[in-house]
Amino acid sequence: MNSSWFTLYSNTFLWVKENKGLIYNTANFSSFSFSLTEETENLCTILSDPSSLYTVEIKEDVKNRPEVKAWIDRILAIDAGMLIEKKNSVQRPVELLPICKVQDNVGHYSWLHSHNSHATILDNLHELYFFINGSQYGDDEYLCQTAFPLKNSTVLDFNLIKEFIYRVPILSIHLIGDIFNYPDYLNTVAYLSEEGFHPTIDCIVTDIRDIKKLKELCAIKNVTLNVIYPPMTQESILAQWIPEHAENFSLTFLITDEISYENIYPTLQENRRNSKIIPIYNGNNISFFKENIFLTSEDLENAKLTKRSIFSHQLLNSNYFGSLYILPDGAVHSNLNSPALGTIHEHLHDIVYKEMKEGNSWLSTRDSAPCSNCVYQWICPPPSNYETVTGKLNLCHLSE
Amino acid sequence: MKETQQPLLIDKKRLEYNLIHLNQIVFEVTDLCNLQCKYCAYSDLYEKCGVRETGNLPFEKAKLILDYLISLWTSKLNRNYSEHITVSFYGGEPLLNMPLIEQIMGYIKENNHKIGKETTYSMTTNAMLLDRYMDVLVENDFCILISLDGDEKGQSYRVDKNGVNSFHRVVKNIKLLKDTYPEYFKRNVSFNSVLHNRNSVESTHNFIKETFGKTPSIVSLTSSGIREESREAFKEMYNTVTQSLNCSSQREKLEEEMSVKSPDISIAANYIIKKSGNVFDTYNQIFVEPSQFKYMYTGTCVPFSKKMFVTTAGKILQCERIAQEFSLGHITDKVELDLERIACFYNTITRKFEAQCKQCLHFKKCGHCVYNIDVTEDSKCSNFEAYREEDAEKDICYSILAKNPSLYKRIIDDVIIR
Repeated sequence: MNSSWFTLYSNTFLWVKENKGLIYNTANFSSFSFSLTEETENLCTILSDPSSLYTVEIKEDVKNRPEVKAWIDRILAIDAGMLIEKKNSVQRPVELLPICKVQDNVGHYSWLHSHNSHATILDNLHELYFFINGSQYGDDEYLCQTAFPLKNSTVLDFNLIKEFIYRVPILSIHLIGDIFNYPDYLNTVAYLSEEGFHPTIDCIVTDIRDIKKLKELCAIKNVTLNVIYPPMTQESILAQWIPEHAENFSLTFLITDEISYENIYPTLQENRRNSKIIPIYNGNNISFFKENIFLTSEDLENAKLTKRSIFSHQLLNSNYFGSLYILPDGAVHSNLNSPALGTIHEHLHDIVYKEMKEGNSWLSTRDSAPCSNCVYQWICPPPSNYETVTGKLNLCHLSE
Repeated sequence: MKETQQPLLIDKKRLEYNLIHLNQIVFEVTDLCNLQCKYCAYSDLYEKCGVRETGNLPFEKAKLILDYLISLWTSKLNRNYSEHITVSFYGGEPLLNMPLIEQIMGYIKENNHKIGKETTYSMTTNAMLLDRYMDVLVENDFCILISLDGDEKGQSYRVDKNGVNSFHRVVKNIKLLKDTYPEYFKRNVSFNSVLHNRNSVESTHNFIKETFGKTPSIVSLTSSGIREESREAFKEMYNTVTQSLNCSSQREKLEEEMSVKSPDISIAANYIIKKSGNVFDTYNQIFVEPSQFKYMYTGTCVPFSKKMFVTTAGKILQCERIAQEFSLGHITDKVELDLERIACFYNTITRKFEAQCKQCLHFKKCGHCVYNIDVTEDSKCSNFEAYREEDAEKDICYSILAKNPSLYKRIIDDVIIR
């Protein structure tokens, strides 16, 4: 009996969970989900074995079964694979099942650690967020969802910050709090700038009350001021000043519902280029989240993901990777909903190693139920703080 | 596909960081040798790549560079953080200057409390003096790489000053080491063989495997820098691992045993790891948007990111495989190492290849060192391959995999290429 080679291309992902499958072609962002039949399940099992080289031999009678034919046709239609007649003169097609591997992985860092070698692990550190002091407008609840000033009045000694970052490779540094009430703030920021750190100051809009002080701060080279607008903030003195100095500014708007979104809309329109919106869960607005944040299967199938993006979902958490948060009491966290990894008095090498080896932020993925049972497991963005604050492990409508 | 990424420029701070975290320091303890191998880089076969007349490295110079590094390691810059360093000895034949090796090891031990680093030792040797010094090597847990071209015929280009084949003396010494220190031998000894017209992959592999239970790395003769009048002689001697394997009746068995040291598996592994898009060197290559990722031009290592090489004349280089004219500094009565100038030189010399690198198939995955390219105004990198040739490389890899379908998983699971 004649048979054919059926091959999926190397840019195509195939996932099977329980009785459902998903094909996703990263070359053109096309995808479709399907229900498994006995035949398609057999074919998927073979294709999912790396030694198949993403190719399965299909006998003519199997190929012509309606559900198999329909499945193959859909794959061909989105250019995710090919079907060729098996002939002696034709070499068996070869494609590579997308399996991601990182050479310098946690195992590698463990080996280096056991040999007292730590130089390269700091390459994984990208951002340090120092909560330098508190603000009268701070909110410790927001802190569990985004980098927002604390209410706390403790001040983080700048000498400790200097010691902590001494001679580490260049990275991005955030100073979060009421900057204008931080001791010697101009010299602090100037020092960071001179050391090549490109500091960002995250402060609440209502803490900015003096344009003269603001101008002095913004005159320091390579400094960005990220102005945070809590929900329902009214206009401030900044409104007219920002557009002229847009290159020094970014704006972060926190919203809790449609009304708070409408409130920021005019300012957002004027500063679209440097602005971002962060939804905040306040315990009473789950319906707002369900409507605007939760994903549907349609959202997921329409996602435009490269092979690298999917690998990223499989191996690390882009919400947290490379960031450490240092609170005014010196506690160092990889995520403010997780226990501290250490303190500012410890060496950065050790803290980064601890996070990579034992932590549950940088490398946390959707590898537990219900997501691990879902065919969209690796299409879905990585877990975030919202899952923690809402107490819901999946922010989607799929398993409701 | 054209790349638009910005280059990663290095600065003094980066080099200082590399020195603080230096992984390996290689001392050329002597440039004298007790063999006169016919294919040696210093033989008549090659254009003279340097003059071997300095003799031995003076201890004072080794001490000066160690003091320089110790001062960095113990300064506030390092925050007294303990790490590991490999101290390697190179030649000529390094065992000809064992007194200096012992002096350097003694100095390191003496200052161990200051160095604060775990130290291991390594050496490449022709094994002629192994019987005399093996106790010291074992006592200090040296990792040793022995140069041996296989059986008696295979070893026949490796002759002493009287033209006598070194085979019997070398094999006797290696057997003595193996019998006296079997555990050490198993753990710390490896072999390197040069392929030519008097041996083959089969004869070399089988001899070393059967005699010593090890799989050697087998390499061809260096094919660059051949003297015009020696071209015929070189052509006669030259052989490649692929050609040699193709002539072997045991090809499959050899490939299996050689694993990634066999050419086919090496080609497939190189494609899968460097070009398939499934393998990343670091988490950052997945995390950072490709457009934001900074890449180096050429595959030249950043100075001191892997090692430091000190010649018998006290020149400081970033690697022993780089011509001495590219020394980065000197040890005179002090260590002269201008990090600012070195960074600037590195940035300038690698950026010369910016246009070629951006058009090259190997960009971002290049292993080609700029110091192996003849750098002139219109230099062309010998490793350059235009993008359009990528399919050919893929086809070769896929045909190798078609013959051995389980290889893909094996490579993903077991092979690392940095």
